Amino acid sequence: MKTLLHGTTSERAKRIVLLGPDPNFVEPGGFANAEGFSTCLENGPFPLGRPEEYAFGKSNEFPEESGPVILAIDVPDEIVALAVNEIFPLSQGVVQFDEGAGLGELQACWSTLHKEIRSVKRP
Amino acid sequence: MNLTSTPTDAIQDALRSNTGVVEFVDNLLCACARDGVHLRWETDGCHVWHRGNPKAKIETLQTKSQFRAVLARIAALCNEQKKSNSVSPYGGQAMLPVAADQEASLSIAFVNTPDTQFLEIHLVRQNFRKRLRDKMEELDRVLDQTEESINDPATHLAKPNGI
Repeated sequence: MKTLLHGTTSERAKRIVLLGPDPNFVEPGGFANAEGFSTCLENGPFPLGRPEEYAFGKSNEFPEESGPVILAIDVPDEIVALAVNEIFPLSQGVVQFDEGAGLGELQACWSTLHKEIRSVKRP
Repeated sequence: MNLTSTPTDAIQDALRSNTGVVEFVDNLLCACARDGVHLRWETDGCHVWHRGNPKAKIETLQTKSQFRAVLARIAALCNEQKKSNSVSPYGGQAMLPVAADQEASLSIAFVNTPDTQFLEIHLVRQNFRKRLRDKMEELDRVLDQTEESINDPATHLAKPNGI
C-alpha cells in the first residue's frame, strides 16, 4: 500500500473523496477536462514540486473554494504499478493516473480506499 | 545526446531513453542550450517549433499529462534558482543557467493550466557586451605595449643579435 498525496482546494478534495477522481472535471471558467489525476508519493521525492505548492496555487486561483488542502489516499501497490511507465518511474515520486494507466482501476476501488483531507501550511 | 541532433530529435531521443521526466527535462534543456524552442500542446498532440525548422510533432510525447509533467518539472527547476521564485506551477517566467556555458542563460516562459500548455525557451548571452568591451580593452593594451616596444630603442639594443 502506498500513501499518495494530491494538492488541491478544500471543495475539490471533498468532491473527490465522495465521487472519486473525475477526468471530466473542468475548472470554473475553463474549458478543458482534467483528463488524469496527478498524485505523488507521500515521502517524495518531489521533482515536480510539493503537493503544498499545488494546493496553494489552486487556492490562490480559486479563493472561493475554501482554502488549500492535501488529499491523502492509501492505494494498493498493484494499482500504483499501473500508473508507472517510462516517463513516470516510481523512483521519481510522481504517480500519474491516466486513462489506460490505472485511472479506471483507481476509480473502481475508490470507495474501498482510506482517504484523508489534511490541512496544509505554506511550504 | 547527439550534439548534431535538433531539439526535435533530442526530445524524441530523450523520451526513448526511458529515464523519466527528470532526465527528459535535463536533456530538453541541454538541447535548447544551442537553439531556442517553443513547445505547445495542441488538440492532436505536442508540437515543437525551433529556429529555421517547420513545426514538428513530438510523436513520443503521447499524453497531455506527460507534457504537463514536463512543464511542472520546469517550474520546479525555476523555483530552485535562488534569484527566481516568481513562477507558480501554473506558469511564469524565469532564467535558468546553462551548465556547460557560464556566460549563457535560458530564458523560460511557460503556462501549465488545464486549458493551455506551452513552453518557450530562448538562449540569452547575458554578458556579451561586457565581454566584448573587456576583450577590446585587452587588445588596446597589447597594441600599446607592442607599439612602445617597437619605438623603444633599448628594446632593440637588448635583443641578442644571434651572432
